[in-house]
Amino acid sequence: MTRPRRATMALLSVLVLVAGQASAATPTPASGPTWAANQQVHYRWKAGAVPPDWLKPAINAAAADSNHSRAARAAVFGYEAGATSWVGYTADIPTNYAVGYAVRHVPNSFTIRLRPQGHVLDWGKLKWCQFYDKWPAGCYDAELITLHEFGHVQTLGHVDESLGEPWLDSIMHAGPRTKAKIGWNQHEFGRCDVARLQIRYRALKATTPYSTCLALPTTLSLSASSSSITAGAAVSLSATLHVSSNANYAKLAGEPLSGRSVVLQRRVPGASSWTTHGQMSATSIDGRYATTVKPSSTYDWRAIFSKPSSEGLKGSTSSIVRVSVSKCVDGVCCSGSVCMTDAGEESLERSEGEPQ
Amino acid sequence: MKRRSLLLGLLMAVAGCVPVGQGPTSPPLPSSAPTPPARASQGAMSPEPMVTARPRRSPAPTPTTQPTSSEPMPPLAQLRLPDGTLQPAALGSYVYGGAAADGPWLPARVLPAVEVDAGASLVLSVPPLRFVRWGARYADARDEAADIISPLAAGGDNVASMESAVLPAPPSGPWVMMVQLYFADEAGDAAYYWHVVVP
Repeated sequence: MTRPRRATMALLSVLVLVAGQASAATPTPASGPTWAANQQVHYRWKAGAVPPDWLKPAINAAAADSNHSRAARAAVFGYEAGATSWVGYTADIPTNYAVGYAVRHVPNSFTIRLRPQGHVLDWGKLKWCQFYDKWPAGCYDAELITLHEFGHVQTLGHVDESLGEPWLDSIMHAGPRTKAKIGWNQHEFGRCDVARLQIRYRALKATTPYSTCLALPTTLSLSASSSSITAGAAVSLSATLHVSSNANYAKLAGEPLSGRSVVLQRRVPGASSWTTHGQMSATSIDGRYATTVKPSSTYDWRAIFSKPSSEGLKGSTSSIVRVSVSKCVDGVCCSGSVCMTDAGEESLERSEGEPQ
Repeated sequence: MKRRSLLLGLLMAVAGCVPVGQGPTSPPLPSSAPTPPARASQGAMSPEPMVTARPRRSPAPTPTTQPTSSEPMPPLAQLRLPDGTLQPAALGSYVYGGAAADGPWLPARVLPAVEVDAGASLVLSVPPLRFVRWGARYADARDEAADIISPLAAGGDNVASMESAVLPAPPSGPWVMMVQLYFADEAGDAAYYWHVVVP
């Protein structure tokens, strides 16, 4: 490697370290048709291949892990006797190296197979941690492996290991780890798994944080219930925040964003600096925020959504909305330099220096 | 409780019984799966009784790519060496046709060794499929746990598909080389392994 290239690589490494967890990365690959939004998919134990009692809790825990960490409208898994889908404890798995195997038949069913404890594979003897009272080094955490298989059922593929992204960003590695390597017992989807689930299934709710593996552009708009009021009258300012319509991911484009911090700012027309008026309140409409103000003077208003550090959204600023405030004295109302009578007739132009 | 199960399993194995769920014949496939082919090739895959299992240390590499069911499997990748020889890979973890298999980094002892000259160019392909991205990494062949894995080369842009790619041989030494491929048309991904010895 040449010296400049080495320096560039070193600089990149530093930047990656500085950026840390909040930096956008590569969402886990995925393919194939998706389940319906929040589709309930139940599984049973496979007849003749029922997992032993020491394994069942880990399998059910993995289903719960998938449900609580998906952060998207991906499938919801749960045990139910008589279900079409099944989980089996069986050596009937293609190849003699795999410890887990999943087949999905979206949108109808899936199967997951876990190789039996002690089975001799090409690479050695399979050890499930849960089989032991004291988990030995080199054992596979059945909860992680089953969660990984549920990830495949959700349509996730394997991460591209050549990208060298942090191991904990995903549980969908092509070579799942054993105890006690980093990530050997992850019990929730990694942030880049969640990113892909959100891309494919949309976020669970408008308030659900977007994965920091993403960097979605946002759009913020602001409107006023009236652009011209008399001093002391109330005007409602309403902001709408959503993922930009030009976002790369079709299902996320235009998605409303609720529960975020949207700040209202104002300035005197022509001024360069803005003053924060306060945080806008959430409304019952997804992505909508509102504030009622009673300005005594004419102001320009704008809403600000600052890039959050805890989720994968970019910041945005609304366009400027001017609310003109007129002051009435003896039946003549002035707004800026224009004054009107109560009857709506233009009265006179205010002279310079007269207070507005 | 677990020890009791262990003892029970041992007794069953000694008596020639097979624990429930590990019968010598495979359980039926889901109704939506195609009819399985003849099971002649599955003899080597019959599950072994749980407690009698012992790690195999056979010096002869065991192929890891024999299918045991009719579920879809990706084709084998191959390397074309400078002398024109085609060296098939051992298949590792994959996602293909709605099926996904997951296993560890494969150790050198289960992989056929191939000697490659230092600085050689290797041509990767996975006929008849095309792929849109690939990445090669390697680890010391003596490091079975693959604690240290180094990047070798990568290519593709996820869009334009290719039927082959050229990658460099690793530096001198015995290595396990793993190449991950992402198939065109979102057909899935697969990890392929070779035991590469570079003098």
